[in-house]
Amino acid sequence: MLENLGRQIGDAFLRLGDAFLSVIPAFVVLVGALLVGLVVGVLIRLALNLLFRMARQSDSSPLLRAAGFKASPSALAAGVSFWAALLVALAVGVNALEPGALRNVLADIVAFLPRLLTSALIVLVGFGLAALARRSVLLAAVNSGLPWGRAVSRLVHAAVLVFFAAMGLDNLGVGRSILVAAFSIVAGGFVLAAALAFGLGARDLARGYLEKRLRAEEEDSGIHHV
Amino acid sequence: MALTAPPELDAEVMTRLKTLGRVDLLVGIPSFNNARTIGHVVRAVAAGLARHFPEAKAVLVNSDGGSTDGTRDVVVKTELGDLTEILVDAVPASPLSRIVTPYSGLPGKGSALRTIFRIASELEVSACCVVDSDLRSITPEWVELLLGPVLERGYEFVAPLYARHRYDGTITNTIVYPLTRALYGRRIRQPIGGDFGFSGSLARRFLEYDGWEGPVARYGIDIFMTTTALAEGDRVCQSFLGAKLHDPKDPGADLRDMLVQVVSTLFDLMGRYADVWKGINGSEDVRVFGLPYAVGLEPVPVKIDRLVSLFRQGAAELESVWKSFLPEDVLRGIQEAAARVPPALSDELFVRIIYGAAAGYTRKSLPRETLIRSLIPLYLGKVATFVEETRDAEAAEAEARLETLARVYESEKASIVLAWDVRRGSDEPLKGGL
Repeated sequence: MLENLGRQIGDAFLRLGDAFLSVIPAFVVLVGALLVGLVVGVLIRLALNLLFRMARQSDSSPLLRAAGFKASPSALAAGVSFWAALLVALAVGVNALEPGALRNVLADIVAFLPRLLTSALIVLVGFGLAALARRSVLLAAVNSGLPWGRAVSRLVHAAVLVFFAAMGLDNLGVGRSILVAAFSIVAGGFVLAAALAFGLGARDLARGYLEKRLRAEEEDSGIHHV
Repeated sequence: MALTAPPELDAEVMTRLKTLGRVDLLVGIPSFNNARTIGHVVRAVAAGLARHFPEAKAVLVNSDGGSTDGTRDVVVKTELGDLTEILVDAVPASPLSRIVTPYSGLPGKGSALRTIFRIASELEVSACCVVDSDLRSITPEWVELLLGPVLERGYEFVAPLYARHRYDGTITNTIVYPLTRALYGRRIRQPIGGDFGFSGSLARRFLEYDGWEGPVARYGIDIFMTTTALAEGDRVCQSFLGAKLHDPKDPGADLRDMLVQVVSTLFDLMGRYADVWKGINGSEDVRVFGLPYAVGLEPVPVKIDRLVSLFRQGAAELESVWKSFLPEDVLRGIQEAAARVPPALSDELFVRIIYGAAAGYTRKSLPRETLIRSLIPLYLGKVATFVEETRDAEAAEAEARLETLARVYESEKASIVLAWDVRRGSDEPLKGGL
C-alpha cells in the first residue's frame, strides 16, 4: 500500500513536472517575445527621436501644450511606438501559449488593450479640446466685457471633459446604458433649468442685461482703432 | 520669395487688358458696398489724372468684393463732367479707361488689392496707387502726391501722411507705427493708412508673396505692403494728404478681427525679415512730399470707462493665458497698472508686453490667434492710459507723447533681438530683457 501511495505521489510529481515542462517553451517564447518587443521598441524610439531631431521638430507643440502636455511630439511619438511594439510582442507571446485559462485571460487582456488605448486617445483629445474651448470662451467673454467669463469658461471646460470621458467609457463598454441615461438627464435638466431660470426667475435681470449689452455694443468705446 | 500662382482674372478682363496694351499709370480702388461714396473717389481720381498726368496713359481699376448696392455701376457710370468746374487750369482730358472686376480669394481688402496688383503686372504699369472707396476727403491732389514721387522721383513706395485726431488710429499709434519704426528704422507715420503709391515692379513683388491665404488677404494688407517695401530696401517716402475723412463705421470692421489681422501680419513679417531688422538700430525720418498744414479735425468722443473696464477685466481673468508668453514681473506690472486709479500702463511695460507677444508668437507659445486676442485688453489699457495722459493736450503734445513711446520701442529693441532666437517651443516665458 505504501508502495502504491509512493508511486501515485511520484506520478503526481511527474505529471506536475511534465505540465511545468510543457509550459516552459511557451513561457520562454512569451518572455523572448517581450524581450524582442522591448528591444524593437527601444530601437524605434531612438530612431524616431533621431528623425525628429534631424527634421528639427523636437520642440513641444502648441496643440500638445494646449492639451496640458509638456512632452514634445517626438517624445510622444516615440513613447507610443515603444508601447505599441511591446503590445505586439505580448500578443505574439500569448499566442504561443497552450490553450487554457492563462492564455484565455492574457488573450482577453491583450484584446482589451486596443480599446483601452482608443479610449485614452479620446480622453487625450478631450483634454486638448477642453483647454482650447476654455481659453476661447474666456477670451471672447473678457474681450466683450461679459461678466463671469472665468466661471463660464470653467463650466465649458468641465462639460467638454465630461463629454469626452463619457465617450471614452462608452468605447470601453463601461456602464453604457447608465451613461446614456445620466447624460440625457443632466443635459435635459440643464436646458430646462436654464430656460426656466432665464424665462421666469431672472426675466427682468435677463432683459436688463441684454439691453445693456446691446447698448454697449452699439456705443463701444468711440475710438477708431486703425 | 516663393512664387505663387497669381489670382485668376475674368476672360473679359483679360481681353480688355490685351486691348489696352502697356499703361503708364494705374489707380486701384478696392470696394464692397460703397455706392454712396465711391462716385466722389472716381471723380477725384479722374480729375487728378487729367490735371497732373494729362500725357500719361492711365487706367482706373475697381476690384469689388461682390457689392449688392450698385457700387460697380457707380464706378462705370460716374462722369467726370466739365473739368473746368473742378480745376481752374483744366486741360482737355480723354475719357478715363476703367476696369471693373470682382476679385477672387478670401473676402477682404487684401484680396481686392491682389487682383489690382495682377492687373498692374499684366499692364506693365510704371506707377500705381490705391485709394479707399469710402473716402470723403480725397482731392485730385492725392493722385499727384501718391503717383508723382514714383513716376518722377524714382521712389518705389509712397505712404500716406494724414492729419488725424489724437484718438483716431490707436492701433497705429500704440503698436504698428512705433514697432515698424523700431524694427525697420524708418519713420513711416501711417504704415496702415490705406492709401499708397508704389511702382509697377513693387506690385509684381507683392504678387509673389506666398501667404495670400492668411491675414494679408484682409486687414493685414496695408502693413504687408509697407513692411515689404521697408524690409526689401526700396526707396520709400511719405505724402501729406491732409485729413482722412471716411465713412465712420466699416460694418465689417471689428476691433478683434482688425487687431488679429494687422498684428498677425506684423509678427509674421518679423519672422520673414528677422535677418533684416535684427541688424537695425535707431530710426531716421522719411522724406515727406506735400506741405503739411493744420486741419480742423472731427472730435473723437472716447468712452474711457469702457476701455478701463475691459482692461481691468482682462487683468483679473487672463493672467493664466498671459503667463504662457509673459514673464512674472510683467504680469505683476499689469496687475499694478490695473489697480491704479486711473489705470496707468507705462510705456516700458507695454513695450515689453508687445515684444513678449512677438517672441511668443514666433515660438508658438499659444495658438497664434489666441495669443493676439489676449492682447486686446492690454491694448485697450494702453489706449486708456494715453487718453488720460493727453486729455487736455494739444495735437503736438499728444504727438510728442507718442514719440516718447516710439523711442521706448527703439531702446528696448535689443531685448526682442535676443529673445527672437530663443528655441522655438520653449515653455519658458521670456526673461531678462523682456
